[in-house]
Amino acid sequence: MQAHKTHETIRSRVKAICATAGFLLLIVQPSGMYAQSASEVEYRFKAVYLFNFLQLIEWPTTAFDSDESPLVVGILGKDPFGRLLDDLLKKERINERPVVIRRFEDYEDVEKCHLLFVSDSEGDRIPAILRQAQQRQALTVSEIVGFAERGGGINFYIENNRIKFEINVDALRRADLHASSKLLRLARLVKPSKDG
Amino acid sequence: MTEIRKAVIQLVALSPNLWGYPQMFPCLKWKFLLLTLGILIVCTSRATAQIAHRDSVSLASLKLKSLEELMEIDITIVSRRAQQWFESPAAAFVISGDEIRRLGARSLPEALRSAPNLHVAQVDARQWAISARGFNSTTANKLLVLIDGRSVYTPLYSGVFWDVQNVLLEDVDRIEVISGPGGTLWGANAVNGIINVITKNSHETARNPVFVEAGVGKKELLTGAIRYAGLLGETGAYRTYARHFRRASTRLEKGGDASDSWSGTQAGFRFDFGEVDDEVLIQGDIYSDNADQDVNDDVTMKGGNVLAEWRHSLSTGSELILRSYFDYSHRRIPATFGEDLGTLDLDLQYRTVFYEVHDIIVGAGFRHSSDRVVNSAGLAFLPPRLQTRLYTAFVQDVMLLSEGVNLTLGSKFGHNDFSGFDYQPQIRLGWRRSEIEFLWLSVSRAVRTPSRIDRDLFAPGNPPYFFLQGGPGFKSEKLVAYEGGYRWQALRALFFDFALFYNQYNDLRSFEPGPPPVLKNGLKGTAYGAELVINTEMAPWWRVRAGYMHLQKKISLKSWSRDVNNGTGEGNDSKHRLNIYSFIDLTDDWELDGSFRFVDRLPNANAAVTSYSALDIRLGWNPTSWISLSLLVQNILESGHSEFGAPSTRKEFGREIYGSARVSL
Repeated sequence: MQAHKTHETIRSRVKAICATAGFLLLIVQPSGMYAQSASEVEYRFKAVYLFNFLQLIEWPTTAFDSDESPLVVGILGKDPFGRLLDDLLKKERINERPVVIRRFEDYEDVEKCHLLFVSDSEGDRIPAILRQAQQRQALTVSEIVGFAERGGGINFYIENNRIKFEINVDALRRADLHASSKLLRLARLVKPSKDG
Repeated sequence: MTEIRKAVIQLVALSPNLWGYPQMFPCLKWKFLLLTLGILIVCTSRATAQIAHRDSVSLASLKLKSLEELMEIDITIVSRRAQQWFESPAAAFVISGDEIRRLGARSLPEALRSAPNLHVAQVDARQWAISARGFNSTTANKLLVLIDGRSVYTPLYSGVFWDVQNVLLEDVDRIEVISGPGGTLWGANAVNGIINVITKNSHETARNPVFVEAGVGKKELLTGAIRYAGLLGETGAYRTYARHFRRASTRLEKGGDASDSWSGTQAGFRFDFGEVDDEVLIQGDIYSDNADQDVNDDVTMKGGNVLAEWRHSLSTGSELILRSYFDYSHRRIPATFGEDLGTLDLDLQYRTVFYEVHDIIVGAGFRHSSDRVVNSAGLAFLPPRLQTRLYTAFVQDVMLLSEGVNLTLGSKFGHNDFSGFDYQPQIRLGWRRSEIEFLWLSVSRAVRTPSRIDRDLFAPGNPPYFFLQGGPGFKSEKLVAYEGGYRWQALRALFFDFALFYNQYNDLRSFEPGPPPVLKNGLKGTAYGAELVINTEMAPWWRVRAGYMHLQKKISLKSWSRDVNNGTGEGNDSKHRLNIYSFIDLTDDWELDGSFRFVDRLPNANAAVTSYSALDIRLGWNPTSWISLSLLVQNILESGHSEFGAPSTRKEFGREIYGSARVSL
């Protein structure tokens, strides 16, 4: 009797699980787990580069409120990473600090962050963005041609189908950031242009 | 008399102990030397590049790479290769390193069970029968198996001694399993499939300098492994490892202990160094195993290998790979046979792109095998000592016909001492119909070149050889395969991979009663079937994969053949196989994984095995980032089943409980 009842309960639960599974299958949106577009791959790489930058750059202690304060990564403008950065950095601790991601639509909204990724969409407002970022000791990273020459911290470029980066050492120094020698060795170092 | 002959044939076909002979080639007089001279290399060009797993561009895998490594990766190639698996015009399946861990696999064959396109049958405590698309036996000879580009099939019988391929599974990055012919790039023996085991770069393992694993179980009595890894200078990294295992004997199906317990120890190293465009890899292993035998003295197996590889990228985007290895193995099966085999191999491969529409790979290779067999009263390989040489060359062009349409044309050419020159051409067409659909078709020819067992086996071990007198005229077995497939990402979390094949075999091995009794190419046949894989992500924390394989095989005798096995000697294959894997992340720390497999009956009259189902469950707990515990229960459904062999000698596998702990610092 008891066994029969248990059986029934199990059966109804199995049915419920199947129904839920079927429903889940129907609602998940199309697009591929295997089919990755070229740009998706590119931003996977760039996300991992950012993760490496966070580890290889030292922020002054004054850039944090306390020892437990998180490392804040900001994304300004149209976010090309989608959920990639969130997936990559969630649960990560860098130098014992958790990582928080913030997104800003406009440079005037930018709050305190340690690394600011400046999206392609913000190409017109670079001087203003940089001025503000520098005051905040933020490392600026972008993929806009000439970004580092104009005073940005790190800029991605593509050479022979490989993702490389250039560093404006002066910009880092002004923001009181210390880049590891490894990072500097791998980067192409740029000098600010005269009008920068 | 026929009975006795049958017994010998069975011995030939079913006894794993015998087969171990490489592709030997009758010493033809170097006719083709000139031809191959310019292109001196082989085909192990397993093309690292060939099939990329989606993991190869997953965030997790990129995260493990150093900045230097990231900067050296051609992202167009990566994005191309990320899609390469999706767009590979062949039936391919990839087992990732993480999946191997979650399956609780403790040996390479156990890990291979998860490939839906392989039939993996355990024979006894240490021996396995593994094949793709039929022709399975303990001496299955139509599968090419590579570990980091090193071919591990033995030229004694063109098959693999699975008991000495004890790679440290923790170091395996992925295993690519291709069903169907891959002779063009990979070479002879890639008739029904290729297994490509790829281990991690030592930069990756250097992130965890110390790894220790220990496990105990009812059957897997003891497993222990230790790995020490680190960085070397500016661009180098290394790892060294040692492992030891002890397995309990199995029991005979008819009752009683099978006395097949065994143990083994293996150690090895790997160095990776060099600049981005100039990578060098050096690795090696040594091992020593010991196995109980029912009546006679213990089986002893020893061996070692060392491999060096140089990859050089040219500024033009071309790539050059030079690889060489030496492999030595020693095996003594008292009262049956013994073998010492040394293999020296050299491969060169060059890849380049012309006008952005031709992706061309050319390669050439040379292999020298030196074999010495210790014969017994029961059988003899004559001559006992034999040196063979194998020359190969290949060319392949992947042409972009129009957006989304690729045509692959290629051929491999080989020359072996037994059967001389052979060619293995293929044509493959791939069509990316949309972002989420891919269709492919192919026609290919592949050969299984003669090995020593086909040519040199005599029985009994001394004259008169009234059971078997070798196979003096044995030539290559041939296959023409017609294949097609469809991949469909139906939903983000629902993926189908479907393949159909029709194989026409000719000149398959037969046992002609004579007189004189010899091995000949008296059989022909067809095999057709389908492979289906369905991958779903029910939820971000729950992934399920189901695989189904169907096979129909018909072997017939040529008009002149009087094959004593009436065509059943070459493999014992099930018509249906199904496996289902479920991977659940219960919480951040707990994993619950299950696998179910069904294998239909094996039909051969003298070695019929009933169908069986097996369910394994694994519970994993990772309380911190550096320690993980796991409990595995195998064969939950029943107290025991057999997987392969004749009723009188076959073994039964029962429940297994195995617990292990891994520490990674």
